[in-house]
Amino acid sequence: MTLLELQHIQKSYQEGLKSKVALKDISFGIESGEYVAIMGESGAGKTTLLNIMATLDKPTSGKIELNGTDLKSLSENEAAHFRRKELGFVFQNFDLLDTFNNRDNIFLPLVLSKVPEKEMQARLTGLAEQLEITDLLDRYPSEVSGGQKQRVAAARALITQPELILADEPTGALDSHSSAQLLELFDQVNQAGQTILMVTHSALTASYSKRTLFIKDGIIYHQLNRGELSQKEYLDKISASLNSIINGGSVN
Amino acid sequence: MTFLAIREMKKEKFRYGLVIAVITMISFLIFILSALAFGLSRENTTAVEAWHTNSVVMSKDADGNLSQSLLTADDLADYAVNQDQAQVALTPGIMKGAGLREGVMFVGINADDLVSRSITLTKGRLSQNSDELVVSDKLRQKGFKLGQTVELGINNQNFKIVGFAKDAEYNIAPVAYGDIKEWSNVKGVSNRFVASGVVSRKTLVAKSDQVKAYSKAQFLNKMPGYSAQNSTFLFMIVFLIVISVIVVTIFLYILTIQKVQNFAVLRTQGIPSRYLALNTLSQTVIIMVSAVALSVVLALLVSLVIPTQVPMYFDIPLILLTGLGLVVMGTLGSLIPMRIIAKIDPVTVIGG
Repeated sequence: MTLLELQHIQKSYQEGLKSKVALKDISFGIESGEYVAIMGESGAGKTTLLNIMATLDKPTSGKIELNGTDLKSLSENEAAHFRRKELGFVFQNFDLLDTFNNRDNIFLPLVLSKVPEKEMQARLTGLAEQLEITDLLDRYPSEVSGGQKQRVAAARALITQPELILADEPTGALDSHSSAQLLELFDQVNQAGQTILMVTHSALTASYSKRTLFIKDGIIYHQLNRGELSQKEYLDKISASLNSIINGGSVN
Repeated sequence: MTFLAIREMKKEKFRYGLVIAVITMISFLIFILSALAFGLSRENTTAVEAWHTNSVVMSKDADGNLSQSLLTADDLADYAVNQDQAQVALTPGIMKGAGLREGVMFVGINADDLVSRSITLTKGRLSQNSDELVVSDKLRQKGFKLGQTVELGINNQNFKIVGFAKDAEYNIAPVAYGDIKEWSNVKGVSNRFVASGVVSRKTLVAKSDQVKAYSKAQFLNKMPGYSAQNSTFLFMIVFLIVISVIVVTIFLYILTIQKVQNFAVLRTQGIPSRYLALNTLSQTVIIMVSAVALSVVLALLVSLVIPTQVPMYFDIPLILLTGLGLVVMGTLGSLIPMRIIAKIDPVTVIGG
């Protein structure tokens, strides 16, 4: 089943008198249960694309549907409700609230959706074990490491049982050990059926995904499928693709 | 709804504690000042309030100042003395006795009339002879005693204190109730003048060119210094309320600015800005209500240790009204930071 469907998405900004095209023509679909990475250098349009998929921004033209909902037609309030219900976010800088302990940070989206306390606890218990953060729940974000913060942030994204996890450079602020831990975790939750879409410029991070889309100058110009490759083999494949692009060679 | 608000305040105890402390002190100042203003204002009027009058007639030339008014028997003939109205005869004077000297307001009255029945004794009894006085409790606090002989008036006439009464102040001076027949002698005027005015529960009208009628409000405002004093205090209190609202707004503004990044994250996660605005609103209400409650307690405690010579009066309805006013105004002040919340763009979070 196609979960996310983008057709001929175009986005341009007015910069002074000139209009700047951030996305020229983007079309792709994501099936339910997929694990997709979107790769690109800064300025390639990944952030714009992520914002559109996150309902934080609207395309100038084209069609985008998530789970049958036309994201272009949502009002600001509907979009907020939609994000809360259907999307889970993992950000580069974790963006946990310092005034809340980790448990309350994770609970916050549920509190707003008026989920009963008992059910919140039940959901958290399993999740915390899986993410190995049970002992950290009563601490504050300032008292735990970056890797631990990102796992708490992942728990916050997962607890609402969203249709889609959107991760923006999730390993951008992590050391290699914490990165690997987080990506293995993503792999686990994906195997359990969670659809994940992450945006990154790191080949290593992308190599954990099942499919990789390469974006440059506002178009998707290449994509790779991991197939039966191991993560290491897939990394080599991604790196090779990137090299040939930089060297100006054509890829197919 | 208060999930975010309460947790935030718990975590940032010091920060929110400071805000509450500052608002507490400002509203404490408002309450103490109101109590002092009210206390002072009441020192002008307790006697008049006790008489339950609605209107006063006095000589036209006195221009509303009852203690300057002189009425003859002819002037008074138009106004019967009955259940609802009584003659009063006022004059300021110095009461001297046993080394004490105090400025008082001599109020000459008839036995068993509207005014004399309004006297609430705290000690002693009402006068039975023309050389007896019932004086304000304030004079007892100053050292005058029951049974003491004092000199009063221009002719240093001797009187004996036979009773003390509460709520007996007229234009800041303690009242000495005496026999109306002694008044012209105490004041040092011809005895063809028999009283300074008529007070009534009914609405009196001037029945000759020599006299003028005043409503109670007009009469009080004509009291020397009374309206100037009240408007001074009123302005001080109003300015304090305005300042406290500005302070609350500034605090909330700073607190909100510091939280913009957090709020942007929450907006991204799909938390509506309405929730964030209500969060700020409920924090404001919590801050204001706890600060106002604390300051009321503080003001009441301070009033216990302030010496009794300092007139203070806590008018409960007024305190509640002022407190409510502060909460409402402070809440209005939080509307400015809410504009910032409404403008927060969640897009800023992504693409770090």
